[in-house]
Amino acid sequence: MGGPASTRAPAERLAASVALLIERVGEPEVRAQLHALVPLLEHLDAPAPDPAARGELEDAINRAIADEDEPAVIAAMVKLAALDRSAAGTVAWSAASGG
Amino acid sequence: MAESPEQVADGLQRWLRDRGVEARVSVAGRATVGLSQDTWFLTIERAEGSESAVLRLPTPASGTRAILTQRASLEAVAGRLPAPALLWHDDGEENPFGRPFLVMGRVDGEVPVGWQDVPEPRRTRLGEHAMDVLAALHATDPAPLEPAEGGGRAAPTELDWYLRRLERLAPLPAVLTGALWWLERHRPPAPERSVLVHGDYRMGNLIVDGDRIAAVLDWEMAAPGDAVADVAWCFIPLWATPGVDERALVGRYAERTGTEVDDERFHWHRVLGYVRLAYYALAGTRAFDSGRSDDLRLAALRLQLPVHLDRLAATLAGEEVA
Repeated sequence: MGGPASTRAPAERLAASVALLIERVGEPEVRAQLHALVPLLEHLDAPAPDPAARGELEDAINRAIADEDEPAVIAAMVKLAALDRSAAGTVAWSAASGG
Repeated sequence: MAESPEQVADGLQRWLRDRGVEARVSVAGRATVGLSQDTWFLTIERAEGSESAVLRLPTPASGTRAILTQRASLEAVAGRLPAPALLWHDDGEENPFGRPFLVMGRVDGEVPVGWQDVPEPRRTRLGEHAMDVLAALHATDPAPLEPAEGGGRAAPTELDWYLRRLERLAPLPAVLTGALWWLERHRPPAPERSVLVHGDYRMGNLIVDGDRIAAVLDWEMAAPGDAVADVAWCFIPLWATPGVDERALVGRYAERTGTEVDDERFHWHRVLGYVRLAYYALAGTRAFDSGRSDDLRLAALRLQLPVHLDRLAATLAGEEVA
């Protein structure tokens, strides 16, 4: 427990606390909002996809469009979309809708 | 613009009294589902008895057109297919809410979020009935939903509608740019016949009672358009369609309507479906970030965007999307 205390609370702990808070809230509208907040908090500390890799794939899509090379456009789209999805969080939409 | 439950009950009660309807209105609850309109559950007591009803009010996000379109749609399909009964409406702003509204009968039943929530054999029976209802919808005269200003305005199931709106959200994710390029490159010819398209026909917008569709909800995107847009949209895997025999159900729809569902047109509309989902996620995210909305669910849509784009790219690549 040594070292100076950080002024930033860990995102994971914030999310867990809000998840516990939901159990004590009766109002469905507020519960729905809190269910949406949990994954946003969880995601605060998530690493972003490698910007260099992203940039290369974006360039590849734009270049292939200019060349009207449809298979190359789609291939680069698939790679970029998979890269971005690997860093995305998950929202429990049923709970965020119904509270 | 946000009313309290007391203001909602009192406002509608006064509006009814001004029209010679003596009733006691009370609020039974408010829907949390849906990201645009305000939906209030009401109890309306009159001398002849009590009934459950639903009040829908537009929000800045939905715009008043959403209510006007629903009103016109509910009138157009009344008696032709299962839908809530339109009880009262006001298309103007000279009313206690200061904006158009409608009141419809509340329909009993459940609203499964996805097809997988329904066990077999109910799932197949419901799927078949959903196709029968869709066929009945597409046989309905779309004329009442024609835009008042005449043709030329794209509907929310058409590519041009999204091209215009996405332009305002630029710069776009490169995956979306690639998809728009592909959609324009493969744009199918206009359908031989324009039909009344629901625009958001899927399990989450259907009230289910046993193995029958009791009501189709959420008509704010209805417009004349391409029937295949509805058919493709209701099988978007986001609506949790695993376990649904898509080919058999599309076949049933074709049989009921006496039309062929062209595979390429269906695929094109499925790709457009993912572009639509990406647009909603982008627009919601921007609305939150700019301060136009404080709804945290709109903020959370940013986490959904990569999911939509991944499925969009996989669909274009011909992969099975789960």
